[in-house]
Amino acid sequence: MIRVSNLVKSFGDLRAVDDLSFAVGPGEIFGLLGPNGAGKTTTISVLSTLLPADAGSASVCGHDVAAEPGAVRRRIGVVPQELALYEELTAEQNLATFGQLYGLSGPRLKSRIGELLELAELAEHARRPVKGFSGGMKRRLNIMLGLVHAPEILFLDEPTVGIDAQARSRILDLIRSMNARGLTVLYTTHYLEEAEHLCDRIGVIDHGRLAALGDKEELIRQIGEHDVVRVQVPAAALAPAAAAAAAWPDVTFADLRRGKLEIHCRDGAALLPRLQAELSAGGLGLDQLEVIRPNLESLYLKITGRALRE
Amino acid sequence: MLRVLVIKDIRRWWSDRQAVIVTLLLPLMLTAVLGISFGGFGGGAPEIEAIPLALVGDPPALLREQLERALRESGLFAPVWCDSAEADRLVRKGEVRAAVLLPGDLQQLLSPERVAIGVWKDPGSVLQADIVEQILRRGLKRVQGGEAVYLAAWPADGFPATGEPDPFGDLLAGDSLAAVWRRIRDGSAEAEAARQKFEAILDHQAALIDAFDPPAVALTVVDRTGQEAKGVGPSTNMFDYILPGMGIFFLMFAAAAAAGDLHRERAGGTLRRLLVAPLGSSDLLVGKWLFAMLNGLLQLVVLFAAGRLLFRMSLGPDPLALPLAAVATSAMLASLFLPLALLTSNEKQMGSISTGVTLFMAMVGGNFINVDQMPAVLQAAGRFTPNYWANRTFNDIAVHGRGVGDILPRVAVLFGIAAVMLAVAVAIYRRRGGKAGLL
Ligand SMILES: Nc1ncnc2c1ncn2[C@@H]1O[C@H](COP(=O)(O)OP(=O)(O)O)[C@@H](O)[C@H]1O
Ligand SMILES: [Mg+2]
Repeated sequence: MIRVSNLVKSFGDLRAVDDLSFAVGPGEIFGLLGPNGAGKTTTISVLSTLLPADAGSASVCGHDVAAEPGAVRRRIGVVPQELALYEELTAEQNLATFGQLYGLSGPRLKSRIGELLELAELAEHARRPVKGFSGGMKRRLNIMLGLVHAPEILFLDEPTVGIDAQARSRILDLIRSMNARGLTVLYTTHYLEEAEHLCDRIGVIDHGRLAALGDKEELIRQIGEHDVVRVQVPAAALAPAAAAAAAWPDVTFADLRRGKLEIHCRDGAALLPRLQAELSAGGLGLDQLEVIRPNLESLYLKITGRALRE
Repeated sequence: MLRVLVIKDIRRWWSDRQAVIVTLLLPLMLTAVLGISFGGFGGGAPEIEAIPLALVGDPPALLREQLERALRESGLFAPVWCDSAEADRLVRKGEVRAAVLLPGDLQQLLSPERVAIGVWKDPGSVLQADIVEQILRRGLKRVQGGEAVYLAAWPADGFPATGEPDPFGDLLAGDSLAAVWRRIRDGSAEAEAARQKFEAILDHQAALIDAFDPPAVALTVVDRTGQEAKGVGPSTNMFDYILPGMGIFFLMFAAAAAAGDLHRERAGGTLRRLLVAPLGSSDLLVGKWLFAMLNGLLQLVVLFAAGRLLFRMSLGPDPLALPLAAVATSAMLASLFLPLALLTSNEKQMGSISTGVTLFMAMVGGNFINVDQMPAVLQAAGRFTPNYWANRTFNDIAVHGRGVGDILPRVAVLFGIAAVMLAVAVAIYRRRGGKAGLL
């Protein structure tokens, strides 16, 4: 549905999108995860025909964004990062305006508006001016405005920024239910948990470059991150234990850290029987053992070198 | 598509109470303020500086000097003496507001025979020419009144010389009016003389009444302009002169605000949404132009309705002229600030530039002074401001009572400016990369 290859977009000297490639299949929720300034919005702008690319190419539903912008625009819905609503108009008028701009009218438009308001749980606020809405209500309407013409693909640019947890989970549910009806979603976020829980596949982007791509498991494997088994051993036994463990198969390396033995290995759980046997052979007990599995947070930290800001 | 964009803007305007108030109330307030500052409802005479006036005639030097000094000292007039050909030229060129043609012999004014004084008026400055006419009329009434008093007080054949018998004294010596009448009726030499005296006095009384009505001195008033084809004379209502100019001045601000809506849509994020919708490349600009035009039209309607109802402003004799001028003016103003909106980066920047431009154009283009009365320098420079053409058009209608046929060239200029500015806006939009340039 979306194919991006070697896309480049610069603002002056700044390469906001730098040789970016990825593809999104039909019915997928694809997450573009990256910190602020990573190039997510710029990517969406190019895909939605707002900005011309400097190099590379992108196509949406088989139509090149540069060559056939009209065909692309009719098939996509865009939910901008900033709220983009007419505050003076009612929810219904907002939806009707954009529906009409896409050529909808009459009973078809009416039933579509009713359906979307129902979905967004805004039906009883349909005739209220948007300026009186809460942040979460505005966010939901903002999404619906991108859906009014029933696009095949929806670009969602950080749709949950600045709202509380409850409103956020309502929006994520909304997106899941739209996706269940066959909508393909390109979802950008800088919230790791959102990408982790919502998206089928994730592209991690930083400085305009794709740093990792795949589903959660694939990402972790790509990084080559290992389990860490951390065990308390008497101080005197630490050094010989580390030396011994390092020689075991499947162990990458063993180390001493803060008075504990740390064994980095491919599969921590599989290591446990051997560890126990070796320790008791040496007359040692198995004290305070923990197995640390890598998560996306550590992966993300490793990729971008910075913690995500809320 | 355009319809959807315009309806959207109308709805936004309508639900923005402040915008509605500005659109509808501002023209009303404007008319009211003008009414109060210029002598109240119903219209009064504005302050006027000395009116240039040509005097034609050849009175004796003493009289000439006195007349000129009196005119100057009144503070109302700046008279110049000249011959009739020169006076004609001055009136036509608008260098004097009127010329007064005195009879060959000014002494005639004091005789009971009819004499004629001519007044040539410059129809371009009808207010001041009217003042000349009115003052002249009043002056003549006074002269005629004085003449009547003179005639009544000094009967034509004079008082009896000293030493002559006084027929009145004898005749009126009596105790009752009946006795007096009896004496006259019964006849005697003295009574006959007294009767003739009475008749003479009555004749003078009749002459006195005649002296006022009809006037012994007739005023012939002529408008002196070749262009004055239509029968309708220039307006005498001051609001016809100043209201359209002021209205257009305010409309320029409204037009700038309407064009600045592009900045508001950008800041509000909705521009991004509109840009990804399948619209034609210039639909967005044309849509904003159409809305600004409707908005301006509405303001003009309110302005003229208020001017008409409160101050009996003239809407011209031709029912189509004013609507046509209003549409052309709104179309022009709606396009005027679109290029600026595209070239500025935010509403604040645009606001300060457009305010400066508006004030300058209003000063040069005749929004503060009636276009007819602008100094020659401004008349020439004004042509280069778009608002000048709007001012001229409304002046033609409200002041000179011109019809559609007469204003058509100016209306064409207005529509031409609108087309050019719109084309410039579209060109800027395309040149700056269309959508990318707007983001
Ligand atoms: N119109 C622009 N002009 C100049 N620089 C821009 C423009 N838009 C974005 N950038 C820069 O490009 C980089 C990527 O921006 P953006 O795509 O908005 O990131 P994200 O959406 O991931 O936060 C940032 O450094 C931003 O400052
Ligand atoms: Mg962004």
